[in-house]
Amino acid sequence: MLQKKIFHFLAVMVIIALLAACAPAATPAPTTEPTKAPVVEPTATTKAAAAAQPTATTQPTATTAPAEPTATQEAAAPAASWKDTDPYKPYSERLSMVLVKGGQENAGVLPEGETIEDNRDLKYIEDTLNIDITFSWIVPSDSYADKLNLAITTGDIPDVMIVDSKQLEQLAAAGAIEDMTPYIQQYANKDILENYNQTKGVALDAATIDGKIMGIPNVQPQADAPIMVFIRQDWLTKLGLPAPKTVDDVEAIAKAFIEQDPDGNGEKDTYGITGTMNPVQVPSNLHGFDAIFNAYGAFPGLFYRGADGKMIYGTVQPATKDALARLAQMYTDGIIDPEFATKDTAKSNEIIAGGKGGIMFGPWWIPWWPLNDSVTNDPNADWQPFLVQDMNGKYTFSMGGYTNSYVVVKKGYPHPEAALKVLNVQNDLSYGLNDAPQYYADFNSIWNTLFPIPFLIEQPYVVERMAREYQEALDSKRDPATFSEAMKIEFGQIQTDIAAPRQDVASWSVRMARLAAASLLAQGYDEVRTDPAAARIYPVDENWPSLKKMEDEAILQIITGAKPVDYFDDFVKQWYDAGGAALLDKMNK
Amino acid sequence: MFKKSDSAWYTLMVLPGFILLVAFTFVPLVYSVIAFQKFNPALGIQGSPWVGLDNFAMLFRIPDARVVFTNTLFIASMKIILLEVVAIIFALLLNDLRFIPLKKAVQTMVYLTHFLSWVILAGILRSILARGGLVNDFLAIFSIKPIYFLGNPDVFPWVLIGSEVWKEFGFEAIVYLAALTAINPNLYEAAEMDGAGRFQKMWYVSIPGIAPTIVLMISLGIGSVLNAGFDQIFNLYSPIVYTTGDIIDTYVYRVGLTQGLYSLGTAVGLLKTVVSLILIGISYLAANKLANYRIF
Repeated sequence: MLQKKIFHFLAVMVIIALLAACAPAATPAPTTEPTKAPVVEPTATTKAAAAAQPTATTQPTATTAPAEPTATQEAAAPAASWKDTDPYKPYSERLSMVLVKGGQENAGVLPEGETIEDNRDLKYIEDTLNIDITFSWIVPSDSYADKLNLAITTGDIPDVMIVDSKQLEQLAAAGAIEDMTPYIQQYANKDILENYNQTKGVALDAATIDGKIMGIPNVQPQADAPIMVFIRQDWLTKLGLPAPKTVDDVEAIAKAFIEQDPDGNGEKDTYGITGTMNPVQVPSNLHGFDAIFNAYGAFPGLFYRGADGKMIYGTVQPATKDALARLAQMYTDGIIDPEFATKDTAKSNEIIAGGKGGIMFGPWWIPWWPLNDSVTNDPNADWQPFLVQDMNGKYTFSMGGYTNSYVVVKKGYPHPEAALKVLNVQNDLSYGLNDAPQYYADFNSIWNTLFPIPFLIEQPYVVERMAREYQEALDSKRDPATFSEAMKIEFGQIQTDIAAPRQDVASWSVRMARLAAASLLAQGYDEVRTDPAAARIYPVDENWPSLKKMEDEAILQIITGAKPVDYFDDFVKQWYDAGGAALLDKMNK
Repeated sequence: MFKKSDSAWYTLMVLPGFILLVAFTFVPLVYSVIAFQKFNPALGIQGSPWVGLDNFAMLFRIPDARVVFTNTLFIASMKIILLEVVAIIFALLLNDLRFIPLKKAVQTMVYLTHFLSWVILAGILRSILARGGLVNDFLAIFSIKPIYFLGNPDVFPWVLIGSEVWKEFGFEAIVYLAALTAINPNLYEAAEMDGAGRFQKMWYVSIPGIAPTIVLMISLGIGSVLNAGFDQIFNLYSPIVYTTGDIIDTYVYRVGLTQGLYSLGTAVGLLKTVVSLILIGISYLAANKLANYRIF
């Protein structure tokens, strides 16, 4: 049967290669595009306090804020001495590190003459630490997980690799990876440690198995989770429509966009709401309906504690049925793309890029991709972000975890801490710390192609904090000269676009994402998250894949009308019977 | 002209194929033992714990397995039946065509699709079957509402069956055309003398003439009734049609490789192998009994 799998695997590789070859030049993913891991591992607690308010809590102490190194830090650590500290000390003998990587399809975004295996950032990392980085394979992003599973199966594992929580568990059980406990505190730099602190220990807990930290957890910017709606203001203005606040408003706008020929070509060829075969996806989703579910107080895909303190699953709650009824009605009325259920992200992006859609649901960063394509094709496309209120007039969103992937080191690798050191230098390159050079103007679009370990340990609320600081600088309440190099570049781009809107698409993207969209999030919102204990239980539950499949089918079939809305009740019963009830019992123990 | 030592050379010519067969069929069979383990890739086959029939027990407990087995059986058997029916009718009609250049041209055109891979055909189908695509535009002429061919669970299996028949009937018909040429022309002349028309000749001469071939093809088809066509379905399906379009092979791929449940995936695959072996046995016996066709 393995031969069948290998054959299938090869078949898929060929398909992907062919598709990649046929597809138009891939647009680079922006800074915070989440990995395409199919299983999402939300962690952390329910109903956290308004995410982005804090000045005291999420505003880190000045010495540790990656985006703004301060005088104190520099004074305490004179230019040369940081190299002598544990997190950065170069190896006396050149150390070899074998890696693997996904993202081959993006190689074309690098400047002329640079490759994934040989670029200036990579060289800076190698020179700083005196290590020699090679790749045993580089594959397209989509096949990374499959290829890595295969590599693990054949025992051909690299020195350092990025894994998901299931692989972490398997590798740890097999004793195939190093225990990182002794190294984290000593070799991670201050920024990374502070970012872990800001998750209140949840990130490192997620990587802890039997009391040992078996991998280096990532920390995702929390801003990726809330799904907002971007709407073409130029179309709104043309049709005389007000800015949306509620689901009703979005629907009314969609209806107008379909019927009133906003692009003025005399044909009824514009879409209302776009979607994909993943209508719900935590922690982030392009063209997803997550915001509509959230507006109904439904949090599909999340395990959290209900009013009585018992663990519940969002998808099987009555509120989900209400949201589905609404979506099914929208689908029947033609408000939603009639073919969304068979489209993937790329296919729906074409609608946006082609100027045939004026509404797109997505996280804050979509101005970098795919909205930039829309503006490139039509400089009048004035996309603006909006948040959708829930039925109580508040903003509440489904959140992912802080962590969904881990860097692990192969058992027996002579210097396990080297992985942390590489991440330290990558962090410096990202934020222009410790004199790290800023070689690339479009760094935010290509960082994951440049870096040997495309992995971020970010401040959980960095996006909101930066938005506030940019706004303060615009209001002359903050001196832009205090910004880090990376922030200075972005602030320049924001000013460029304010002076001449949409003339330079790269500048427009930065302004829309970093300032306009992130500022909306910075105003604060409520969060619903999967309970951290539950997050460790369900991904490894034997019934989970089956339950998930049942859920995906039910949601799609109800929205598209293949099943009536009342089928939801049957689905809920089936879900509990097929292992859902047992799973919740396990979590309640 | 042939020396005895020549046979060694012929045996040698079989070798490459034999090596491939061993490498990709027999060796992997050994690895099927992970169906009886809780396989952890990092521990390998020697290290993973044994769980007996747990994976098979799970297989029969979860609804997925039933669904994919029924889907596979339905899609594959409909494909075999309709493919043979269409191929036979096409061969009979083409055989009656007197104008040879046209006959050759038609035959070439219809079997061309056989040589296209499903990756390409799926792309073509996606655009033909889309809303605003060729088929729905055509239906619109008769005021038929657009059909969501690839997203409607009731329609999807028929898209699979229909497109498979469309792709393969030309190629399948070659066998029947060959069988038709083997029919003694005297029989047609005799039938004509008795006043038989075209369709009567088909019914009383052609069909009985190719009956053994028909039986043979269907008997051999039984052996592949659990192969509903991974390449085709993988390139056309999406979660919304899993209920009717998910087959054993796509399920094994998703569960085994994408979700990392190696043991469960292997258990499904192994079960498929066992059932297939039985079916191949049946088809061999049937071919022998009904069509007098033997391999050994």
